[in-house]
Amino acid sequence: MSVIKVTDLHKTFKVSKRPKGLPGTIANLFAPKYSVKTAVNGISFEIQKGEAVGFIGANGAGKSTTIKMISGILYPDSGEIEALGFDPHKQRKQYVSHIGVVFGQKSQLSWDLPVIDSFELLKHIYRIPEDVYDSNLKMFTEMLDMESFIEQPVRQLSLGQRMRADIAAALLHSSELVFFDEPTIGLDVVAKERIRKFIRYMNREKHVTMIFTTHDMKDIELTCDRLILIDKGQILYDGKVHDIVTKYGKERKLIVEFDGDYEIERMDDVVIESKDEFKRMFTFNCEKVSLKHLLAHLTDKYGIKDFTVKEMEIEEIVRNIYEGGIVL
Amino acid sequence: MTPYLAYFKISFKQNTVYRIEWVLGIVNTCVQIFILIAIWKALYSGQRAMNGIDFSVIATNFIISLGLSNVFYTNDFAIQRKLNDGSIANELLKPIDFRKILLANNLGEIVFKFFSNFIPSLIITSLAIGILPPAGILALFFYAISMVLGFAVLWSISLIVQMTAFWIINVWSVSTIKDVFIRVLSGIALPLWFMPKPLLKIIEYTPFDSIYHIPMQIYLGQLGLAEIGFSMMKQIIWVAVLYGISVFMWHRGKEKIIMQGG
Repeated sequence: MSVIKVTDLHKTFKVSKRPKGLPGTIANLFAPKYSVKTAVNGISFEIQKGEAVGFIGANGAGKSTTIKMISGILYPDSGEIEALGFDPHKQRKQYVSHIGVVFGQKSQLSWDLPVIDSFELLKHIYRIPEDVYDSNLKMFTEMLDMESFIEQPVRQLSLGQRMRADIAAALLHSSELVFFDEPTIGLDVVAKERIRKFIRYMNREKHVTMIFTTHDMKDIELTCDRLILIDKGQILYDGKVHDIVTKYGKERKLIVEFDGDYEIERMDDVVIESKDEFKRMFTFNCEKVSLKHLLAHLTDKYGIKDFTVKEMEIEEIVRNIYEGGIVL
Repeated sequence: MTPYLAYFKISFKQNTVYRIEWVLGIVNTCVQIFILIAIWKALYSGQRAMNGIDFSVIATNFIISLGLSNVFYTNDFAIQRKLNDGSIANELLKPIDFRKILLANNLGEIVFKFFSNFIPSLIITSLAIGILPPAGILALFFYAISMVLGFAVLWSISLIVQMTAFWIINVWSVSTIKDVFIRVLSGIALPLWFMPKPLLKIIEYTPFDSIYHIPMQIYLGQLGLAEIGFSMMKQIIWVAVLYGISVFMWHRGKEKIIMQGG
């Protein structure tokens, strides 16, 4: 069953262009100048129930705008959006009672109220039945480890705690569809891991459909099955996270630290780059070149102090796509 | 408990926190009333009536209408603030009616102020200056309804001012102009009985006399039963028209929301 169906979405913003200095300011008063900025330029996709989809793209690529249009905050200039069988704008109230949204940069909780009071208010807003509320709250308190701070006002929470409280708030009404807009921004590794684990659990076990925007590729690798890559308001790639890794992840990097300054001979299918004085990086395709042979060859001829092998990370793949290095 | 009642309660509770503000609020209301009464006393220069209007009528008008104007709280900047800091998104993401939330918030404050500010000020100024009782039980009853309708008119006007935030970003100027109109044309600064007849005819075609003047006339027993019916009808029509305009503006305005980045 398709949960979200988006067809040919467009959105432009008017950006005020003001010339520099006082004369410019005065001129702008009488004849304001605008330039039109295209944020989303013809995006179409479909998301099935239970999917976890990662949206990635550079800053200003249009991913947040797309999410805000699907969640019903922004109006598209043109295009169709159908989510959970609703029109997010015409049937806003029915629609939003089934969804949850988490903004990493903005809290939805009341600043001055203790976390638990905000949750209580949400119970009334979403008219959550008492037993559902109690069991959800109990589960989230345990899984997100909120016991210690649930009675504190939101303004006194650390960023990690606030984020966990926000995520719980978005899921309290048993949301079927949840949008995460950069939920791990600014968090440390431990806090990120805890949030990823929770999100993964909600997706795999509770079959909550999820859309995720982030700059952290690890988030996507660890929580999503599907990846949509957006750039300049258009979709560059839409497919399995796994596929992009296997297709473009055959590359290995062998970084070797030699014990002296050697002149390394050229080898077929291996790109050699100098790193440091005694360090060299060998980039190769692991299907064409055997790592075993390469290492044997190097240890035979030169003295090796240390070496590491690295897989190509998605981050790098994405950067390559951006720079036009990989054609999809 | 409906979500709106929950919002009402929170707003009410938040207001009970500030005790000094509460005491100063009473002082503020009383001082305003005393000053205006002093000015009008000077204008009357010892006479009991002027233009056929008793001084006690004027005093009653100020004690009640001016007292209420300090209670009838509307926040013209509510939407502007939500647009500026982006929290309008939070409201749109909840399955609730945004305008009802605004109303619930306002009413929480109003109900609190009615008992904590209006009633004490009413007692203090009545004892100090003297107030006319309502024209009768029936008049008091109709006055109560008309007063609520008057607030509904005031609130709808404020809602329209708030909605302009979608287009003009800073509503300060619109809000100030609105406040001047209300101050002058609704009878709280200058009782409308002193307005020249032609001007009063014009004012009667605006929503402003619906706010404080009509309820006051009912309280004082200046209107017959038929006139009360007609005046309340007028109030209801104004509420419907003004609220309708604000709803229309809300639907158009929502489409203009811009939010980039975070």
